[in-house]
Amino acid sequence: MSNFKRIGAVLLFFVAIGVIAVSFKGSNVLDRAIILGIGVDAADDGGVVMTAEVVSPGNGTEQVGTFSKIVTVKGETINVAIQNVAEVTGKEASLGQCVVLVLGQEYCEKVNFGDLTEYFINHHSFKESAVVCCCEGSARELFNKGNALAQSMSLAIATALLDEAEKIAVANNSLLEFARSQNELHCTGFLNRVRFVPSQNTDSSSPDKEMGFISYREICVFRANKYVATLSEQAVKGMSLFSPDVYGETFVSFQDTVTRTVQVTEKSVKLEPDGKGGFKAEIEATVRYGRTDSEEVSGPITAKNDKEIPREVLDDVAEQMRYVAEKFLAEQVKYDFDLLKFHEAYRQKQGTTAALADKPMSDFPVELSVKVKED
Amino acid sequence: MKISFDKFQKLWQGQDDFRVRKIVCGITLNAVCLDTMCDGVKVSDFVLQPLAYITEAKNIDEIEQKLAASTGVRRPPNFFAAIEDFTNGYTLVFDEKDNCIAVDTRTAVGRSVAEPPTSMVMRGPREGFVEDIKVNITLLRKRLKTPNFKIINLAVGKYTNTAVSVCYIEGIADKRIVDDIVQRLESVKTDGVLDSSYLARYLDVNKTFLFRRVGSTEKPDIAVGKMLEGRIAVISDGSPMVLTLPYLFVEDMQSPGDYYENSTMTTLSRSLRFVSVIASVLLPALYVCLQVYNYQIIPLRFLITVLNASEAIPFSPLTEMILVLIVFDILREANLRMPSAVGISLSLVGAIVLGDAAVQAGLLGAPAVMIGALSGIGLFTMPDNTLILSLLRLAVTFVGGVMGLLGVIVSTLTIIVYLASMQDYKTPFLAPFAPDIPEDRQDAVAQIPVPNMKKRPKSIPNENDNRRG
Amino acid sequence: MDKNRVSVDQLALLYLLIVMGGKFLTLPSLLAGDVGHDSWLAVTFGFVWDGICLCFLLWAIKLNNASRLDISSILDKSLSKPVSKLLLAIFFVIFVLRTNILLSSCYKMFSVTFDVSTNWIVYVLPVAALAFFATVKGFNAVARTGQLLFALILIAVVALFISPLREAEFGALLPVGEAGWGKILLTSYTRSFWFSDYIFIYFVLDGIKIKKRVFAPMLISFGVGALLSILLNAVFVSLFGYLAPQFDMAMSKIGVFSAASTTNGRWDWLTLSIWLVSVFIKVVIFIFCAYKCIEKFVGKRFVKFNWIAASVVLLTLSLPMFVSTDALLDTVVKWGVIPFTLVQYVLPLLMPLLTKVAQRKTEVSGE
Repeated sequence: MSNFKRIGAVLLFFVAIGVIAVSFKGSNVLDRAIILGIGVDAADDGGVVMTAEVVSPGNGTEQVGTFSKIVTVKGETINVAIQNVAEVTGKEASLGQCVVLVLGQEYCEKVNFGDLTEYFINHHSFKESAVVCCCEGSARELFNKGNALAQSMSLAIATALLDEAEKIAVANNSLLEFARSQNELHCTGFLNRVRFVPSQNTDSSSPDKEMGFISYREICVFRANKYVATLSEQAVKGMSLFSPDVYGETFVSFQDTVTRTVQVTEKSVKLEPDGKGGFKAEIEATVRYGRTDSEEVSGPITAKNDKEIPREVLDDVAEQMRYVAEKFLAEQVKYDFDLLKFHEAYRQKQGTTAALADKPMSDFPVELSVKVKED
Repeated sequence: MKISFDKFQKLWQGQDDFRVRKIVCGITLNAVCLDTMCDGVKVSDFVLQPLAYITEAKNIDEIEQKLAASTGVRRPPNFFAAIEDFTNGYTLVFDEKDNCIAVDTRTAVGRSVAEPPTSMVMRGPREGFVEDIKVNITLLRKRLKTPNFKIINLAVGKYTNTAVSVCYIEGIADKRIVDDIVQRLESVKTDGVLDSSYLARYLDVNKTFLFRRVGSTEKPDIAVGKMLEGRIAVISDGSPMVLTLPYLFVEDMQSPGDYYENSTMTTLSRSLRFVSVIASVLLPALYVCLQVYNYQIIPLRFLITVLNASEAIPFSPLTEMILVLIVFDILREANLRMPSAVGISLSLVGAIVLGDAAVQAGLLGAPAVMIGALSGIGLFTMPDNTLILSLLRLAVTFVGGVMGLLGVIVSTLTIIVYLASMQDYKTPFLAPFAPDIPEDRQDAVAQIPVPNMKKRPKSIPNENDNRRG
Repeated sequence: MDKNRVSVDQLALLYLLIVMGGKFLTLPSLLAGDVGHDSWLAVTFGFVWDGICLCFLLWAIKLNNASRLDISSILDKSLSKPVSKLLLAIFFVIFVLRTNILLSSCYKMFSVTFDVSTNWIVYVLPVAALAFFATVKGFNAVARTGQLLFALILIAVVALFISPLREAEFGALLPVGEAGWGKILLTSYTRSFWFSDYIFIYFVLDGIKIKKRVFAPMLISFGVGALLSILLNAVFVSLFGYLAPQFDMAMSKIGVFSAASTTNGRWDWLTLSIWLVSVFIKVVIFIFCAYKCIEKFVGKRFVKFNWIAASVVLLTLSLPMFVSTDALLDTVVKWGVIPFTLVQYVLPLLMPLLTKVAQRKTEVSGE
């Protein structure tokens, strides 16, 4: 009997292992089409054209941009398009490593893309912290410029916007923040506008090869998932002044035939309701001479030195800051968007009301003061 | 049973090494010994010569007094005790009334004290136990010059009659545990004890399915160190491994050299061992389950490396890893059994050539081989439990490969619950962490300087917890 | 050694693990759906009531130290056997339901977050096997496991909190009480099913080893657990705003910003897996308690592992195969909130009195 029991236990053990092994459905990483970045454009028939950068193993190492390939598919919805990526690659499309979502400008301007952001926000694998941006022209064209950058376009955009943008005074956004901005209160938010800028070919071995870099200094504003406007260069600079985490703005001052460039290294921004329906904004920036061109070496443009920045230069910079900040505030009023969260500040005091959500930006006068000091 | 010379003769008749000498010295005596177990010179000097000078002895008591040259003269209480002494190399002297005296004439054949190969140290004593129980007790006694060092001698094994000594320090070791161990050893019913590890199985109270529950050491300094903490040492004749009880899981992560280094260095190296053991058991499982289920967790650049390396591999990630682990275990097993000269080349050839060839041939991926090797090497930081951990590693890898992170979590928790439930000789196996005994953490993974260790570990039952008296 | 004995320190750590184990899954999104950004207030109220009840229960533990009566003896002697059986039945339903809800949340987390998809029964079997193995090994083994893993789990939770804390704008929690204080209080009551984690203590009452303090370690654990839970809810709603009610796996979402760097992968999910261990410890303890409920209900001590009792528990764990978790929450939990309140919130307040009565009756009968 004990032998029967023993055999029975062993059989049961193996049956259990068999059942468990069969019941769990894993998917080998090689059977997945791992998507690094997604570009979305409008299709002529009302659907979407999706361009995906997919990891392609065996194609090379991660050093040069040969480890991925670009796939372009069409679909009535974004979900169908992702299914089509699976069909084209012959593998299950996986978004867990997707770092960037690029919206083609035409798509942004024409379509309400609320469903699209909602889809990605609710996708179980897609990181809400992924970068979302729009691009000049079509996303498809942009992704196909990867060879010109000699690196993965998705990684290049993500690295630029996530790691570099803040250091060169460009505000940026994650998918989560953007999705929230389009659905809460005044429903306005922004996306960086990325574009490919061709540069001179420096590779003599392949003179016909296209070369270039990506620029991401422009900012487009959206309201309720619809395009509103593209900010002017001055307004972008002004916007970055109001963002405490963003720094590196440079200002040039011409005084007494000497050109001096100063850079913002630190700043504190106070933006509070003034109790009269408006806002009181105080920007206090700390600046130092720019890295390369400053004073008194080889003529009017000089290398960085430790000299004290003259008071009149600081005043001039403060004036310039005030100008760009006001420019930005003016565009906020002009296009009625709320990137500085004026509505949110009042919501925190009064609670959420429909009247507050619909309140135009012109109803929020801003009293601005700018102070500049030396580092 | 009554001692009888005739019975003795009958029992050993026909054995070449059985020697009988009849001596008349007032009374008639028969001296018997086993030639193979006795030192001829000792028999001559301690038994035959003194007896030859006696002319008018009246009884065996007088003879016993005259055999003063030998350090070990005793009267076996019964026939079995006489046989035990005889087989251990004592010379027995019988009178006509079957009174018997046992004189210690044991031969000292055996290897000399040397550095044990299993616990080499950079600094610290290099003496190691040998197979001779007497030498081993000498090694302990050399370090414990106190009358409180107590030894209880037993004989275990129906045929081997192996001498077993239970050593402890009176006033430190918990007497109830000593009694418990002695009782367990006395109740051992077996044909023979060829090594102390035979006894370890009988001393494991819960008959543990996995993990070693009895400590063993080849170094007298370690044995004494453990006895000073309240543990009890069990020495078995013929074995250089001295058992120590009760045993804690963390002991296996403590190296003999730990006490001869700076405590900061010891803490660092112990932490490293700790991390490497955990990583060794979990790393292959995580690698497989991340590949099969959770590729999102893997950093992108490493993922691309993995993808490139595994594209041409004909096996699934789970099969690949199981293969790597089995190959590593085969290499280790072969390495242990090979003669040492071949062993060295085999380990190198195995590790480098086999691994590299498998990668080149596209059978195994380089990351899998690297993780398998890393995990395999890490296990050796816990030498006593390497095999068990290796088995667990395979099991966790399998479960992780099949069930993903769910499997890894459930199997790890099961192992921990199992370990946490173990308790022998009033000592929880996972002490001082589970249960948490803050005082004992001074010498578990982290170590405080030896002068600051004022108390004996609480996890080991003892009668005096003050290390300074 | 009694394998179910547990020290107050072990109990305190287990309690903290249990508090952290269940509240970071579906509860934050449900509360966000009910009262929006005031969900942290609902959690706070829940904990205030929990704290009061815990104090009374601890008092009862202290009183019970001399006699070491178990829950069924106390209830039998003080309230009569039928009432005792009724209360044990309610306990059983609570434990089974909470285990089911926890398991189904984990099931969802594994299938959605970790891509581990399988059918319910194959998922439950290994977890139940672990729980029954722990039951065989005794509560002491579970308590020691909790002690061993406690630091690791706490570090994982703190690590998961660090980056969301930096990202969260706590201004979003203003104005305080916007949902209305009445509504917040009501929500805290209707969602009380997720609270009162101390109920497991009833089933180890006779095994609690008191050396020195009872109140301090338990209340510190309670405080830390409550603080972390309130913080999580606050961070969750301020981070996800209008999306909070949609994200029913709070803990798997909250770490997203730790992996914000481009090529890091989701390292936060490894930390999440460590935290999940505490959920499994909670499941193990609740299954242990459900098993003990049967033992005490039958009134016979199971010397060996009782397969019938285990099968009954296992059978109840297959509930989500037939009824969806949402349906369970909408019907059983919603309607059961009153009887549940009886054992969750009324019984602890009466426990010191009941213990005294039971002790006196025991002395009189000379047991």
